[in-house]
Amino acid sequence: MNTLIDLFTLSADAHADRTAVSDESGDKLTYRELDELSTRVALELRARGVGREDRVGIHLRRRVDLFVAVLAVLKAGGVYVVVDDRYPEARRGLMLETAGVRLTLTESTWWEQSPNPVVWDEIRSASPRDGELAAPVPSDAACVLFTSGSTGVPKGVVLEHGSVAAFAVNPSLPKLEPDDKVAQVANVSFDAVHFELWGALAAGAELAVMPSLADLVRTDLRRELRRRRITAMLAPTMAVNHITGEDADAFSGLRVLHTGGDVVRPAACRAILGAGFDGVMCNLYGPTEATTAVTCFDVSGLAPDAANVPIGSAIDGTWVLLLDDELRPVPVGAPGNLYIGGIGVARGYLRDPARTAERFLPDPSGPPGSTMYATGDRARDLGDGVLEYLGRSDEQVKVRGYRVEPPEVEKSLLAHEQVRDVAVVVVGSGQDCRLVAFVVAEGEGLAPQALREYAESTMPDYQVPSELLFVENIPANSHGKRDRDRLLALLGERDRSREEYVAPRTDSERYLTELWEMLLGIERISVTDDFLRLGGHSMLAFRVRRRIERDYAVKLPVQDLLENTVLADLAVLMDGQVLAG
Amino acid sequence: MAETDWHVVANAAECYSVWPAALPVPDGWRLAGPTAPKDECLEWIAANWTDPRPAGVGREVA
Repeated sequence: MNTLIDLFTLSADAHADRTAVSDESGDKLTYRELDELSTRVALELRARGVGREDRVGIHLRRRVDLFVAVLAVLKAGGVYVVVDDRYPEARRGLMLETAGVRLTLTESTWWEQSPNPVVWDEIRSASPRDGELAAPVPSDAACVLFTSGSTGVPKGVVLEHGSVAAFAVNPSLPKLEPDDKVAQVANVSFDAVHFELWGALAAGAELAVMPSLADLVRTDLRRELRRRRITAMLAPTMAVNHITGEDADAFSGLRVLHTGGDVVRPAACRAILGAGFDGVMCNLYGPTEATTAVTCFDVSGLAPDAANVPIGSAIDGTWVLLLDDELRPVPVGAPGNLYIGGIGVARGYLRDPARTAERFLPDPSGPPGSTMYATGDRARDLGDGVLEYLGRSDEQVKVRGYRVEPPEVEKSLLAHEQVRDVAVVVVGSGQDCRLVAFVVAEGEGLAPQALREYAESTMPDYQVPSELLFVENIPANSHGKRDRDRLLALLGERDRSREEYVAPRTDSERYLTELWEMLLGIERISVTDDFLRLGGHSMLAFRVRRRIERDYAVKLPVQDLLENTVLADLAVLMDGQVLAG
Repeated sequence: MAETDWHVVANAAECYSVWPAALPVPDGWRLAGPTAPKDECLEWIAANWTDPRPAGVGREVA
């Protein structure tokens, strides 16, 4: 077993003059420079009272120095708690307070949001001190990462050196080389950063700090990855799932592409693999509580007709148990609750004994006294230990008495070629609960009714969502997971504005209902509905006008359209024009 | 059907957890509190594992 400092020291010795970390400002450090600077800061931290397993907040902009601070904290024997600068300020303060940090290394401008602040520039430029640093051991805590709790309050997860180090050099994952350049795009409070940071430093590779993936996609992902000569990255599944035909070659310059965090679409994988990508693409599965990745599936092995992408098999040093509700093993092929044992299992939740006891249980297949983590996920063994992910156990609901797992419904809808992304949420509770699907369509021309017919033809009726709501995108929270609360809020807003439903009565009402449903992506439009209140805007009004012109050969002034925003009124106007024409 | 009973268990590092009473307690763990429905066991742990510091200097478990 190694510590993170062991891994870094090996690289610093072997690759002293190679670049270790660089950022967009042009700032960069070689391994030797990073080693010397982090030792100097570590001695300064020691002098300021940081000792073994003391938590130290790192509240710095995402740049080269942030990673100097991480190494310095570890060399001082401490535990790093990094808060990403993209969180709202109040949230960052809350995270640092929750973590109970001994001090916080911070930018001078963020002093006020930082408990026990120490300004980074001061400590970085302090005159060198003499002294010895006691090396941490593998069972020492290394970091506190945050996961989104079901309540929205972040939970601190305490991980040990041995767990993170084992992930960084895991022989089951593609090996990184000193020539690699690893993109640092992840939220630095989140577990994807383990791959970027420790994967790179353990290999003697370069960690290239870049804008977030969302920003890169907004500019030009392909160009930016080429500009920085990136060869390896972990792209969140939410981003990979939005890759389409036109931009599928964005990753084609990479040697290693990992994805993880959600259920990846087979079509997105195929698009990327078919667009000149000749590296290794892996679908990773693992919760923060088990150190980033526990299973790995090499996507090049995806069957041509696969309806979903397996999460693969357990990586070296870890194992997966599929158990029933009484913790008994389920037969191979049967769905079970997914438990994780082995080197990656975290120590527990920071200052939360009850939640730690609930989720970290005795591991009957591990060394004496060891724990396994109850993920709350469900999976089944497809044979040979390759797992298929089946969703969350706590999202299970019963619709009309049938057990339904929303992720399963999502997967079924995703199998439609014109569906790019989908989130199925449960609305209501008990006997009144129903499923609502938020659908992001691929291109134009997918009518809600057509998707409904497809759903009814492929799923048992209790799985078919009672409503299909077309949206521009699925909102994500700061951890890149679906934001269920925002989806529900969206639905609430919509419902409040549509209290009564009146079915179309005339041909023109029926025509307009279908047209609006398609353009607005809303089902069950009432003739009393108002175009603008359903989310219509002037660009869509132009398109309504063009369609009417084409189908009825009448020209409606845009002004008339904008003054007659209720469907029944527009139908009357249209009928009048047809008669007059 | 009666609710399943769970044990409160602890390991040598004095970390607490719960385990179904119907199954043999895994190696390295011992009974360390009540046997009761799971929620009650967790409540007991929340009240009694107030210093979650396992044996070993300076190691704060969680």
